[in-house]
Amino acid sequence: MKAELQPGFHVNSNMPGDDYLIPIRLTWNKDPLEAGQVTYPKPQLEKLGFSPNPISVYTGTFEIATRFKAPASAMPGMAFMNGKLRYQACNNKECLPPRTVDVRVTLDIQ
Amino acid sequence: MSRTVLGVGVCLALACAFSWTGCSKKARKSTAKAAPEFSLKDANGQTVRLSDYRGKVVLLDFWATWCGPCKIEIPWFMEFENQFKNQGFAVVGVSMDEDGWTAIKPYVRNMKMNYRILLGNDDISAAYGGLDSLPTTLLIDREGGIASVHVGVSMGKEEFKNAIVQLLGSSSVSAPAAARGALALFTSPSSR
Repeated sequence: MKAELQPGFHVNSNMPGDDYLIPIRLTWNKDPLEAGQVTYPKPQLEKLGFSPNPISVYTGTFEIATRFKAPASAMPGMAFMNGKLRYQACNNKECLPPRTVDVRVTLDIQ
Repeated sequence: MSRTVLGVGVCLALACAFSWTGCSKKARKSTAKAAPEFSLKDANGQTVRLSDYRGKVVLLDFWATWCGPCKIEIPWFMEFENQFKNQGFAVVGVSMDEDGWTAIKPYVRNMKMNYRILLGNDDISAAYGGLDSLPTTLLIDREGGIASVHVGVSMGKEEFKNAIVQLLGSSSVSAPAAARGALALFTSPSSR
């Protein structure tokens, strides 16, 4: 899944390094396929004005990968997986409220 | 045996354009509009209304524990509370944390926040224009009018302080006696 942030904004990575910050989190429904491990990209460590320690963030365009497993009984053809992406974006002066958005991927079962 | 799964892909734009407009709303001034009344609970379960502060200059700060930039301003506001609380001034922080006091109380303790914290809700968010960005800080005059709105960390500590001093010195109608003493002390010659 490819995500794109507006210039100047960042979202916290899945492990932001500060308990108060809201991590990005991608979750998937249980069917029709089984979602395996979600792989987040390598974050950037940014020194921001509010924290003495660098914060682990994503900026610009980044991709989150998930490996899906289809049961042997699955019929070949197109399938959809629905999930949710929770994230919270800020720039260096303000933050937007946390959001949870629906995501959907189209998969080709061969 | 498992079948092969190929992802066709999905693309998201995470910071929506409507939110982006929040960045350009800097310190608009209004001396006429009344700050919307609210009724919220503090950490002790006590109901607090904005009208409880009538006669005082109020710095009303909408913030959240997950908001990094909010953390820049909090020490300033603690200092203002200390410096001006006996002169008819109060800082009121309204946290917009979805997790409520579970999230707020440890943060307040950790930051040693010395001013009153209330738990916000959807009603106050709607009353104050949606609060699309945090921090959002209002300076409210002694009559309950909105003197200025600051979205994001849009001005520095000294600018905030100057604005507070100006408001403390700008009204003698409803100021209590203690504050009237401060009026002489803090009103600059140019503002008389």
